[in-house]
Amino acid sequence: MMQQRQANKLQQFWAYILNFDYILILLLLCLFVVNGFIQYSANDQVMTRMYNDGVYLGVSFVIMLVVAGIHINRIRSFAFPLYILSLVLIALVLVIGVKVNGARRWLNLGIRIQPSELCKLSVPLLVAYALSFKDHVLSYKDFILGFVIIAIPFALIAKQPDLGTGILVFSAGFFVLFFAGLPWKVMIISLISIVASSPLIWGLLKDYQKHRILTLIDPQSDPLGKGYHIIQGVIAIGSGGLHGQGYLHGSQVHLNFIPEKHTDFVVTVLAEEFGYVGVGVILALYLLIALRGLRITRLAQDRFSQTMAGSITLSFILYVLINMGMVSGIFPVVGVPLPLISYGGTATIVLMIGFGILLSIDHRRRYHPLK
Amino acid sequence: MTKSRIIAAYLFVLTGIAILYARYAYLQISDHKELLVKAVENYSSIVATQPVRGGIIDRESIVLADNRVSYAVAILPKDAKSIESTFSLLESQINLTAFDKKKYFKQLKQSKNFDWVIIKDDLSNTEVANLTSHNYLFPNLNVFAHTKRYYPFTDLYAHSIGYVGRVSQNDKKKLGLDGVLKNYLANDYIGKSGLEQQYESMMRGSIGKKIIRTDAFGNEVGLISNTPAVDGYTLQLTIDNRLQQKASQLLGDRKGAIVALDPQTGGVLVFVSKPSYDANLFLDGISPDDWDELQQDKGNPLLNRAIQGTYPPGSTFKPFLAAASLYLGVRNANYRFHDVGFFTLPGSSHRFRNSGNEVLGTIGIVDAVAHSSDAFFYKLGLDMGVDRMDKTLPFFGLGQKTGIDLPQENSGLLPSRAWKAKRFAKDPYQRSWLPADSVTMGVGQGFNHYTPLQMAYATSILADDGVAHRPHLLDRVLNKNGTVVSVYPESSVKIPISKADLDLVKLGMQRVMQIGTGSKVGAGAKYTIAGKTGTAQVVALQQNSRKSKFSGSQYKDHSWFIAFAPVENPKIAIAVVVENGGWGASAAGPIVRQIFDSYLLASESKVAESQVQYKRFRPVDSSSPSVPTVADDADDTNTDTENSDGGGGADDATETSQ
Repeated sequence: MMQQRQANKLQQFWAYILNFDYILILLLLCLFVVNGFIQYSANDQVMTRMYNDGVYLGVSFVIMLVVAGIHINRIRSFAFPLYILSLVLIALVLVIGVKVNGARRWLNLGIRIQPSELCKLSVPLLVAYALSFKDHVLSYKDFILGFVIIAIPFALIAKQPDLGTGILVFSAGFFVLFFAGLPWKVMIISLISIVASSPLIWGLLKDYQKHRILTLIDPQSDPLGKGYHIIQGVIAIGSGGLHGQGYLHGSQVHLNFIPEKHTDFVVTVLAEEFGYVGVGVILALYLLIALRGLRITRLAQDRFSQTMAGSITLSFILYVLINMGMVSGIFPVVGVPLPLISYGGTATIVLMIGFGILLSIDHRRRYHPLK
Repeated sequence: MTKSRIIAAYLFVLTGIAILYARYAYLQISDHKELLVKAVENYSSIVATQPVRGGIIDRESIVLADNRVSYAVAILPKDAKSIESTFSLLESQINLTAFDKKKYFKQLKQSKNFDWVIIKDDLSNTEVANLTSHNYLFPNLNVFAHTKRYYPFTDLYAHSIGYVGRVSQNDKKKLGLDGVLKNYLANDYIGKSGLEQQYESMMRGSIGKKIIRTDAFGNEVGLISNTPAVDGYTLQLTIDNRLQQKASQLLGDRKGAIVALDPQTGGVLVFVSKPSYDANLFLDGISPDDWDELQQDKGNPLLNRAIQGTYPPGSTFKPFLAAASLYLGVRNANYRFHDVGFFTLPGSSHRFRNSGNEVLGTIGIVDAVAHSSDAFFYKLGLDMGVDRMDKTLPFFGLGQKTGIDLPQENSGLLPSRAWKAKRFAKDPYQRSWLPADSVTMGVGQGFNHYTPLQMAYATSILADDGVAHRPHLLDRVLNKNGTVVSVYPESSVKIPISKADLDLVKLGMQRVMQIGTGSKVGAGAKYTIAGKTGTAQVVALQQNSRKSKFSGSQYKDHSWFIAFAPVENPKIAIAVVVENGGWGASAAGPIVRQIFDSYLLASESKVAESQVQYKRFRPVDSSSPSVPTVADDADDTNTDTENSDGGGGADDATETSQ
């Protein structure tokens, strides 16, 4: 009897352990390996400079596993406190934040953190939470509530000013509404009105933001200023060709023509040294992770899980699109790191918490399927 | 959740990733080559290294055009925005003139972004010391050493060697057409005149190209390729520096020209045109003061009289006309003429008079040359007629470019009917060729004009029994090690006049020096000379009169003398013209005699002694010690200049130099 019980417990334990999505975990670990190689090159083969990156990756991986092990309903219950915490921190940034390049984005709490990163998670979490109570079809009131939840931190972040992160936070929240069934016509009407009011928005943009958009349209107009980043990035990518210049042999990267080569412009290292083959592999990894995320979304068992999984997946792929699009010159220069390849930081931790939530959602479906 | 949302999400992900695949394929595959070039351009910097310009040496290896080290202070155009304040700062350390500043701005206009633009060149030692000890004041300035052309004999070779100057826009166009513009930097030197221009491509060498790898901040991180500069070749001339100095000194302050040739090779021994100028003045652009002085000099020092100055040949024309008439059978050895002191055209009372109204009596062609009978040659001019003169005198190169290796040679003028008709097209009375024109041409007056080089060349053709050797200054081209790279391609043509005919003329010219118009010049010579005096009228004299109303020195006749020696085995042929020198025998003649004596008689040791103070070309040879070698101080008459080990005279010369 005792033995039977023990055997059952062991069986239960293995069932618990084996029901995680190891494919997703494996894909993420693949990115970690790529990260190691690329960062070694980007940091000019100085191991000590990679210390923080390794710590962030390791810590974030552990956090992901921890989050994955938390029941999704438990995670759901964190939504409101986390949102409030985010708002407080953003408000603090506006008052006592560290000012860099004319923008207050960081808080110095022993380590420098960027509270707006936290919003990328807390905003969709609260929106999904708010929409998760009703089983029936959602009404306009629910969506308006969702927009209000998004709008408050968005406005605060835009005031820092950090329009790039603001838009990403907005997108994360919006994806939740999208998966919750925000009517197409509302989206279309909003899109049209945004396009129509774009001249007005242009007027509200800061000079440096206007500048970024202008230099994107014509990088040669400012070859030594903002356009320099784009031009040098494009040269680095193009010079890689099909097979690349060889690992550790990218001239653009190693002769310092690429600014921020280990952070936002890290894809240039890959593209220059491993060529289109390298870019193809990493894009394939991103695609597989996204497909895995969408699978979890598709199979999720309740509205909170579905909307949250969808938002996390699409946000992830949106970062990839914006970063790689920006470096290759089809998007404005926005400070978005390349997920899990750029040098580790707050963004890595937030991303991995997101994957932890994804894993938790998937685990619940497999381990406690709803009858 | 509606299915459409999931489908839309899949579409979003797939399109997004597809766009990135497409964008990166576009950059990495279709734009790859173009972007790779940009990446290479990013990290490669080209640093040009200057070749050392080949020198020019005389037949004894004495350096006539040299290179010296000069210190300059320069700035990059990108740092030159507040140049006026830099100027005022610099003025506390060095002497900076308004002309220096002007030159700076002129150069700046021609410079590319990464060319150093020189603010002041030829800094003194004190100035270099001032600048280097205060270099913290001038972080953007660069003090560097470079080599520059230097002409140790200043004005002696200004008309033969010429000078170099900075590359101008016109030069650039020409270099571009020749496809060698790449071999020059923006503010480089290039041969502007004379041999410097003629043999530019040989002396220039080729610039070296060092391609270095730099990082984004311009720091050098490696060497990609290095093509070292190749120094230019040294030109060895046929010129004899000692003789050149002697000739120049003999002409003194008088205007005129002296050209001496080796009649057996065509090599130029002496090439003097006076007045001259200091060729060093033009190197970095001549200063306005110097320019004004040269321009306002009534002697026109910039005119290269030896090849561009044309003068009526006067009586020096006679030997060539005599030779032509013998060739055509218009005259022969037995022809006799009764000289009554003047000549009149049939049916005219105008008397073409002998100079000095001399009456020579019955003479043949030899005596006519020896005594320079004008009457004889007036008649000969008439008997020959313009057409026959026009056909035969070109045998001696008259009226034609000699083809000497110098730019801008004048062809002189051998007149013809066609020439006259064209020249006086608007004047119906002058248009046709008149018998009187032939008469005056017979004594070398009238329309014909020749350069001193042409007369020397014609003389050398006579001297070498009718073999015409194209005149040339270049003997051979040497590389740094003294190895001969190429030799001037000598070219000679035998003219159709027979040796017997030429011998008659030469006999006449020899008698000139013994009993004729040049007997004072020829008196006591230890070798045989054949010569001819000439006096070219500057202004037409009044009818039947020997008195000119023009009495100023500028109206005095030009004095000519042509000669060669020794007659049996001619070693030197010469033409001397002294402007407004008066009688040929009195002004030009003594110069010829002294040059001949100096060339043919001077003892070897004396010759070596006179040249020992000058720098000689030293071939670069790692195996030989750096002390002066015997070969370097080879004596003057030893034609084998370098690497001829031994020779007693040479040893003496070495001792003299110590």
